[in-house]
Amino acid sequence: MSQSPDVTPQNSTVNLAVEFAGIRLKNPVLTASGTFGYAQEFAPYLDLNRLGGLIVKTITRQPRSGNPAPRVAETPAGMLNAIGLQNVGVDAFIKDKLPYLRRLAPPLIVNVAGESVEDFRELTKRLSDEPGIAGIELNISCPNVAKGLDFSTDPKLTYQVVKAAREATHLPVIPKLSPNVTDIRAIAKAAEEGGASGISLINTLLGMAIDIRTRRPKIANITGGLSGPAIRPVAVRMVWQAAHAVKVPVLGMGGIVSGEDAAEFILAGATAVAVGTANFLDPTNVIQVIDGLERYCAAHEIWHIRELVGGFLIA
Amino acid sequence: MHNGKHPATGRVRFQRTLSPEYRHLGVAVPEFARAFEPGQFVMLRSGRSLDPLLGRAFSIYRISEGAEPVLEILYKVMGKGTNYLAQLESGEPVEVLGPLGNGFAVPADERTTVLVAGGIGVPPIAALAARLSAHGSRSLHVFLGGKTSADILCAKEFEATGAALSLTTEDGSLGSIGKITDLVEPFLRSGPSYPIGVYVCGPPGLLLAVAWMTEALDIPCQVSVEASMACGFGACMGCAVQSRSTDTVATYKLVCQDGPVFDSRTLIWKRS
Repeated sequence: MSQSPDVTPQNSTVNLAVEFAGIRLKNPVLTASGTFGYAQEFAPYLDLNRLGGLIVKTITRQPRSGNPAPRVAETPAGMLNAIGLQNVGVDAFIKDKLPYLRRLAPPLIVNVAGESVEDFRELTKRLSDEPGIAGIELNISCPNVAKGLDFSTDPKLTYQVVKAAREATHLPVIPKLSPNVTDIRAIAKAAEEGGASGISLINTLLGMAIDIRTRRPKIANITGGLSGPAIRPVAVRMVWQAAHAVKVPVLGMGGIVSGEDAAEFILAGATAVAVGTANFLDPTNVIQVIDGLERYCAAHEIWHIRELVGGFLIA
Repeated sequence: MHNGKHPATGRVRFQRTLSPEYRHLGVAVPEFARAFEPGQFVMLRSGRSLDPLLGRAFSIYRISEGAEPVLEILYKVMGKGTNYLAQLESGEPVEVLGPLGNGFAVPADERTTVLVAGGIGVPPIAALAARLSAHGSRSLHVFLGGKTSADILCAKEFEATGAALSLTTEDGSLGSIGKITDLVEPFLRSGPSYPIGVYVCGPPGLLLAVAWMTEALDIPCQVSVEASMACGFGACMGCAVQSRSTDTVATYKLVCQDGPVFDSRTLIWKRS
C-alpha cells in the first residue's frame, strides 16, 4: 500500500538475488500475468528495471476480443474478473509488444494459453525463436474462457501440456496452476513429471457475486476469478503444499500487497513471488513490495533471501 | 520514464453535503496537475484499508488554484467505496491517481453547444461549461435532469455561464416534469445554428437515448461513459465497452484509456 513507510533501503547489504527455474533474478519479485499489461502501461509510474522479472498478459495463437462487460467486480478485500484473455495474438505480440519488452533489463516471461495441447506446443515453439524471452509461463488455469482451458484441474492434461511445451523449447517452462482442485500436490507432481522447470501458483479462485438489487450477476460471465488479499491464505497454503511435493522451484502469488506478504510466501516455500491485483490499486505497488521485502530481511538479519525460502517453522 | 503521473497521497480539505445523497469533496494534493480536460477522471482510494480494495473513478469537477492544488469532485453516496469517502474528515488521507483518460473535444467554430447531464453525470459537464463560458461567442444550452430536485446539481453555476438552462425532474419538484430527453429532442429539431455538438454524461438510459437521437439527426455527440474498472490506466482491461470496429482486437474499447469520452458513433448502443 502506498502509505507504507517510504524509506527506500539505503546501503543495504541484503542480497535479494535468486535463481528461479534457471532464470537469474536480481530480486524475487515479479509481476503476475494479466495484471501488468505489457509493462509499457506502467512505464509512466515506475522504473521497470527495478523489477525482479516481468510476466506479461496471456498471449494466444489468434487475437481474442475478450468477454462482454461488466468484467470486474469488487468483493471483500478482493475482486472478481472475467476478462476472457483479451489479447492481440502472438503475431502482433511479437511485432508490437516484444520490441519494447526486450529492451527492459528484467527477465521477460511470456504467458501463453491455448485450447489444445497443440496450441501450447506451437506458441511455445514460436516464442522460443524470438530473442529476449527468458521463459514461458503456461496459463493452463484460466477459469474464464470456454472450451476447457482449465487443463490444470486434471493431472493427465497438465502432464501432457507441460510435456508438449517442454519438448518445443530450450527455454524454462513454468506452468501456472489452478487452485480450483482438491489436491494441488497431485497437479504439481504431474507438472514436474511433464518437465516443468518451475511451477507458478495460484491462479484465481473460481468465484461469483450477485447484485441482490438487480438479481443479476456482478460480472457478465456469471462466474469469474477471485484475486486480491482475500485469497492469500489459500495461496500460502497451496504454495506450501506444492513446494513440499516437488523439487522444482515455486513462484508464489495470490494477494500480495506488501513486502511482508511476499516474505510469507517465501517462508512457505516460494523461491520467488509475483504481485498481481495490487498493481491495479497503485501502479507503483510492486516497488513497495521489493522495498518492503528488503526492509523485512534487514530487520530480521537475513542477508541472503535464499535463507528465507521454506524457512517456516512448525512447532 | 517518469512523467509525473505518480499516485499521490492527498488530504481531505473539505467535505460538503449537497443533499442527503450528494457530496462535494475537496482533496488537497501536492504537486497535482493544475490543468485538466473536462471529462478526465481520477481514481480515489483509501490508503488505510484493503476493504474497499480498489480505487473508484470520479470525473474531475474542478481543480482550484491555491498554495497547493485542490482536486474537487461531486459524488453520490451509493456503495462501499463512496460510503468510505463520505466518512472522511478534513485532513484524512486519500490516494489519488490522475488526471486519467481523455476529455471532451469541442470544435472552436461550433455555434451551438448542447450539454446534457443526468443526476451524478453533472461534474464533467459543469467542468466543460465553465471552460466554454470562458471562451465566449457560442450559444450554450444546458439540459439538466434528475429524479427529484435533490438530483439537480450545479444549476446556479450553469446559469452563471450565461447558458440557456433547461431542467426536468421525474416528480416535477423542479423544472418541467418528465425526463430531460423530452426537452433535448425538440430542441435539436427546432433548427439551432450549425455547426452543432452534443456533450452528455449521465445514467446508461440517458446516454443511450441521446446517442440514438443525435445519430438519427446526424448531429455529432460525445458521451462520457462509466464502467466498472479496477485500475484506471489500462492494465486490468475490466472497463470494456463494445465498439463498432470489426477488428477482433478492437471489438472492445477501454473506458479508462480510449475514453471515458467517446464519439457516440464509435460505440454500440443497445438496451441492457
